[in-house]
Amino acid sequence: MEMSEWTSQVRRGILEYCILQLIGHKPRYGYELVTILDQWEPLAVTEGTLYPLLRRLLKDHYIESFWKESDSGPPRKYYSLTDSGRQLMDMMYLEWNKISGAVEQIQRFGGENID
Amino acid sequence: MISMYGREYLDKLNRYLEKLPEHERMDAVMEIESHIAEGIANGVPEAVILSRLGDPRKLAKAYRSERMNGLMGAKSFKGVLSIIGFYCTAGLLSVMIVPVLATVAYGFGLCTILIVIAGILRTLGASWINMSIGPGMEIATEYSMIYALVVGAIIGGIAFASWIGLKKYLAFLSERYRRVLPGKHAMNG
Repeated sequence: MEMSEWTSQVRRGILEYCILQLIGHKPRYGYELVTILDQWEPLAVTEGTLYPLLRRLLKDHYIESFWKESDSGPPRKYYSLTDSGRQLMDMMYLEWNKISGAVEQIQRFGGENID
Repeated sequence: MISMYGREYLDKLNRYLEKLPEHERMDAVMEIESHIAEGIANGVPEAVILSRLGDPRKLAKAYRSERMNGLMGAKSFKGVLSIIGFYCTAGLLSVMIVPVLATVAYGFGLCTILIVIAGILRTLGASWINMSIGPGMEIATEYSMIYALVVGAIIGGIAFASWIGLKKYLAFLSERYRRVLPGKHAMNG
């Protein structure tokens, strides 16, 4: 498997989790999400990925959207978490910690006795 | 604010999204329009914004395929694979295990009953029933019942163990079947 392919597979699931976290913090709009995620090279997302992903989360009722006028420019489409979105995020939080903990142990001890 | 190139891009996107329901399509196009305007307001050249958005045809395709994922459940491909895996392993395994265990359980069970009956009959004098440990080592008539009970216990034990095994295997099978059944564990897969 090529490195880039592996990276994109890993990134996909993590990205979804990060987006839920960002939206869970406060309602955000697409352009804002792209700008925030651009700060971290491994999370940098193209618009062609982000908007369809947001659409799917919307369809699955994990997030909801509303249009709001902005002072400086065009109206923005904001996204916020629904109750089930927050549940999903909380579950991902636990799962992520478990996974990263397990991977870290394997990295450190290579599966040798860790007692 | 948005130049004719931007308008053209949005027109194309709108056309490629024609398979989406009207409301969704308009919402998507409006959102991308807002995205372009937002970029321009932030001083990003329109050409850069458009190139980051990529080919409108590809963007529309991404919308459609994400929508499919949402409709069919993100795990559908993996789900189908695990169901195939289940039927291949569990199916083949069952062809071996279930008939063998069932035959042993019920066949040996029946034998146990017959042996005990034979013991009773021989004790009562049915000399046509043969009981021996080895060639030429006949069991005395008065020990017939003891012999029948010992052999019956062994055969019955095997039958009982097979029956328990069969029950456990069937329970295990149902449990696995429940687990691969799509839709039940959509979120904690």
